[in-house]
Amino acid sequence: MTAHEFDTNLSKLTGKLKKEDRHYATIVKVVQIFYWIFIPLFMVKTVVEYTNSHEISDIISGVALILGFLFIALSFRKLYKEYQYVDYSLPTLEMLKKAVCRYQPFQKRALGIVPGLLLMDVGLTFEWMGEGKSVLDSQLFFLGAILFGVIIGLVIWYFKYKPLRDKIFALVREIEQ
Amino acid sequence: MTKEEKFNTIVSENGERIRNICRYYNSNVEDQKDMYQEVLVNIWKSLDSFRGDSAMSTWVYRVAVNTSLTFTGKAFRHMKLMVDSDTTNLNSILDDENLKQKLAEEKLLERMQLELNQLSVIDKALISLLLEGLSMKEIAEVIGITEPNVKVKIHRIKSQLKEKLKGEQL
Repeated sequence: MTAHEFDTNLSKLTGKLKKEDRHYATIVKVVQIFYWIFIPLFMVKTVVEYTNSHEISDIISGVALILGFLFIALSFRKLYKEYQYVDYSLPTLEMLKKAVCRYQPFQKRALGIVPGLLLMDVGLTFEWMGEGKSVLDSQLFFLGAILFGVIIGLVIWYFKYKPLRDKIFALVREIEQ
Repeated sequence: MTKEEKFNTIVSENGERIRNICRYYNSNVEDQKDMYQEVLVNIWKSLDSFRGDSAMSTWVYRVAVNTSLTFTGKAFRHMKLMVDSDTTNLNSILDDENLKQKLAEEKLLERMQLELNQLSVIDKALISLLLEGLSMKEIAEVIGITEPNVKVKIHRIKSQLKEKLKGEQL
């Protein structure tokens, strides 16, 4: 294989790389659109509901849900950026250690979405209370949904990411030996 | 200098280095091209993080080696290290005069190829950098371990290879 064969596609590749950058920018934009459109809509809904009911719980519910969505949307944006842009220019050992951390099922940085989840829980609880349902009902529903999500996530992790994590971890151990 | 200009400069100055790493890991020309493209994609992605703390060549080798370890086109167990009699610095692995002469013989080369491919993924990465003529210090900077640690690992690999090739009859 000659250098020429490699290089003929360079301009095409540069275009592909720029497209990839644009792709990332598009995803971020979509997420931004999600919360910049969805959040005002939720605000309008909250105001309308409060105007009709004059219940303070409608405001608490609406604000908590809006903040919860905002928090999770921003956390998603941050995590997506971290996952999408793996730094291949780090020393091999450091890159592999970071990869092991990325493929762990439970990570410290995932705690960042806890405030968002709590806000959504508060929002949901007040929403359901307004409909005459008990706090216990909303908590059981919310915790059940979270537990279901965690179980599905763990199953996906076990079959898709654990083998990868184990292989990378073996490489780390080998380098450190 | 724009990102594109910086990228083009890096590729034009380090293209041969990247191509060599790709050749070590792929016998098939199409696979070499795929890996080359993936290395370039990763150089592009990592370009913003280059601050000039290390030499550009070391930085490029890091991206190339790290890409080879995570190359999506190949499973770890299928990863092979390809060398031929033209491979620069091949004698740096076997610095025994008699063995160097014998390397001209196809049979020994094939045997050596076989033994190299029994090495672990990390040992293959170390050997590919050694074959590229990098110093122990530079290899340490690429892999992220200490220089003495690199020396110990390379010495161990060389000893194992020599031991295995010692009994080879031509």
